[in-house]
Amino acid sequence: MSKLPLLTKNAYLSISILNGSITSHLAYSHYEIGRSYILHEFTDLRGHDISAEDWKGLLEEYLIALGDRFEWKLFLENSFYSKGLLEDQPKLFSVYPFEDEGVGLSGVRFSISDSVKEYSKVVNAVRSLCPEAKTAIINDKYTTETLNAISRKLGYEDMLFLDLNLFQFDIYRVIKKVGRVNLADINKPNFDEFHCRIKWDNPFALADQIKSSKLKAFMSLSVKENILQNAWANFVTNPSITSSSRMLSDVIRSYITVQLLSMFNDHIDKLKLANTEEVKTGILVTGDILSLVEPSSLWVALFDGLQLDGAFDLITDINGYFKTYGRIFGDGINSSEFILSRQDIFNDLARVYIPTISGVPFGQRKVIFSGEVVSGTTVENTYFIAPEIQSLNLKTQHDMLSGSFIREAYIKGLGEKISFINGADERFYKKIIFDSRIRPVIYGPDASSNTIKMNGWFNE
Amino acid sequence: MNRSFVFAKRIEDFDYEIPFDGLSTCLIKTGDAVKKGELLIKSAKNVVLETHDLAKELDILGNSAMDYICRVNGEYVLGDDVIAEKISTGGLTTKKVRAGSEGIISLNRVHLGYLDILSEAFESDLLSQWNGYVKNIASGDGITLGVDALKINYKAISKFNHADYKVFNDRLVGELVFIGSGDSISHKKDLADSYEGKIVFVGRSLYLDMVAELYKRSAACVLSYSMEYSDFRSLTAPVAILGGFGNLAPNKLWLDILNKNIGKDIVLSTKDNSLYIVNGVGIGKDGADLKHKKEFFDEVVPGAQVISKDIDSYSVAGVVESIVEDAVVIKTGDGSSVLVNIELVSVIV
Repeated sequence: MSKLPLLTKNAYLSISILNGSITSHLAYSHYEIGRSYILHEFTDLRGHDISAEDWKGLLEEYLIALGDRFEWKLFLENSFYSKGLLEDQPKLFSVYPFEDEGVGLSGVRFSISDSVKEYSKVVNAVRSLCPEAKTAIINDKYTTETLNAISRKLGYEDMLFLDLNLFQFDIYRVIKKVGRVNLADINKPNFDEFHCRIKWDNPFALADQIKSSKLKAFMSLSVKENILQNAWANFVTNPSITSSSRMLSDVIRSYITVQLLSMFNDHIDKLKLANTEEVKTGILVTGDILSLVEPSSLWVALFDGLQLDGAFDLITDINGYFKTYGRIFGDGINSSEFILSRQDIFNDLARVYIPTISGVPFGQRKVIFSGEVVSGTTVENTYFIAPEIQSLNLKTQHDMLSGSFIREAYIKGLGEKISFINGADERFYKKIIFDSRIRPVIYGPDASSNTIKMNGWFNE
Repeated sequence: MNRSFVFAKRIEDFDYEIPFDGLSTCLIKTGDAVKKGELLIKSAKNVVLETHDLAKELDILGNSAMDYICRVNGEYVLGDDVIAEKISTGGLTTKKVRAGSEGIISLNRVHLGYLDILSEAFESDLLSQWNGYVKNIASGDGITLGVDALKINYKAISKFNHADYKVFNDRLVGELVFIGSGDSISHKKDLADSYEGKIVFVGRSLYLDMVAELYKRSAACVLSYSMEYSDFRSLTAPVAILGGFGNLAPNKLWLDILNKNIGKDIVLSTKDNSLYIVNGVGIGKDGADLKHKKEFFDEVVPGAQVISKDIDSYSVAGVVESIVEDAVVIKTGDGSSVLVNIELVSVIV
């Protein structure tokens, strides 16, 4: 019996056009020999004024350059265009049929966000340049449906999606409905959904936030006021995806915390985690500011901004796969485009434990968890100390962590014992994060105090 | 993938508007070709003989100046006539402002705290400073010429009340002038007596007192390469920032293109952060425009001209000397070298 085409060698290009960036992912798989990878290309368009009429020319240049970047034959040359002749004829990008690794594609998909200025013109430009490509509009409905599909695929009853971008923060949540479903409602979505957003339309309004006492309360670097204001204003008016500036990284961490805290306080009842053993919770985070902060800084911003506690999974999607391959992944074996596993795209998976602690006096350091990690044939004792944030890298796909809390510490919904097996439920974690800070976490009164506290949290 | 940075773009048919009140005599009609030096309009004009900053001279708030003026708009005064006074301490002390020249009182800028004394009207010929053609003539609206212009994007413009300044269709217009050489910070002693109808490039950085001085001298708009962000946000007059915030060294591109176009008319759009140099001279060889095959994306290779957006080397521009792993070494115009992450540079085209 011949194999399904999607299960033989295959390559698929997915491009997401967002407000301020283009992300391209080329997925290749050869399941028979167990070889699969995804090529990644991110282009920052922020700080450049692009009119709706520019998009066609921009996409033409982009698609040609993309083939060179990926070193992959992506498109046929336009049959109306040949080098040296008819150079002003419009280009047409026909997909080069897939032949082998490095040559051809089985399909192309464009996902265009509705936050792109005059996005319908962008859609028209895409369709005129590449008529064979599938196009999808990324709006709130699309995002919620994709999140729901992903949550089912990954086995979460409760899933939050945080899309953190410099000018816009979105939080989406889907919670699987439990209980009986009436026949009349059989075709209705079986999940409760929630969405909230903070958006900055004016870059100078965002630049002015550097003077806000709320933002300063979370900062840990003492910098001269004018230097900070100038640097932040320059960044906001011409943002970048990466930076070596510690100052900027500290501001971004504070900014994420303040934004999330504001959203949490406005929607406490909708954003509080359930923390029950029956409900598996996953938090997926993506966005253009993730690569501007260290992972540990991101954890602090998320945990404190959303006032998280209990036990949940944290998936960090720094490459933006949710928008390019999220829907395809969610469709699973029903997909007619490409088949992806969770290991392909949502592999930066961490298990997070944030215990409730009442038996450690403020200002003291005490062990609150004692257990052991089994990795292959090695057994190692492990301790978690309040008030620290510790991470444990998991070496193999079957590592185990077991142990008990002491000093009146416990995990809401799970109790005083932890028994964790990597790979159970087919989830392969890269690390375990333990946030044993005493709640409420108090910042301030100034930046240097925050530095001391943060060094203490990470035991530096 | 690195975005290209199109520094200057030629617009072949740009709408350049000349105010025309319908009272002057227009010597051209729609469709006419226009050459530099050609007579376009005959009108009556006044020049500003002197300006009084009443806020400073009487120690009052600028927007309350009208309360202290003892002349009417259009009144003819002689030298030494009292034009404004402030009585204080129960009538015991009086501060008086006297006219230095004889002329006509103008209260057009009194809401900003300025009282001008104008000369008598004299016949003035408007000679074309541009090559183009007449697109439209409408009394009250103006004459629209179709001209070629060089479009360059600036970083930001301050927030100001358009009604207080000569903004026409969201545009400020004036002749480009420099203070000093353009690559240092300007001082009050470098200033001319009047900048009426001028767009003034002050150089590397701008401070608030200089803004006040330039607008007292009737500048149409002020350009600066950089400025402290906190000062920029406190402005209420139009100031356009070309490079960024802080005290940034202007890159050679900006200095070259502005130097080549001193005396040309600039149209500064307040809507889309663009300034247009009418009949502008390009920065290529012999004033030509830079030729670029790729408008949107270009590869960063040794020898490419690039500009940085790294916070620690913001707006630094130069030539790529070498590429070291994921960073580039940029050699700047003054001979220094800067290391920048390759993802934080744009190729200048």
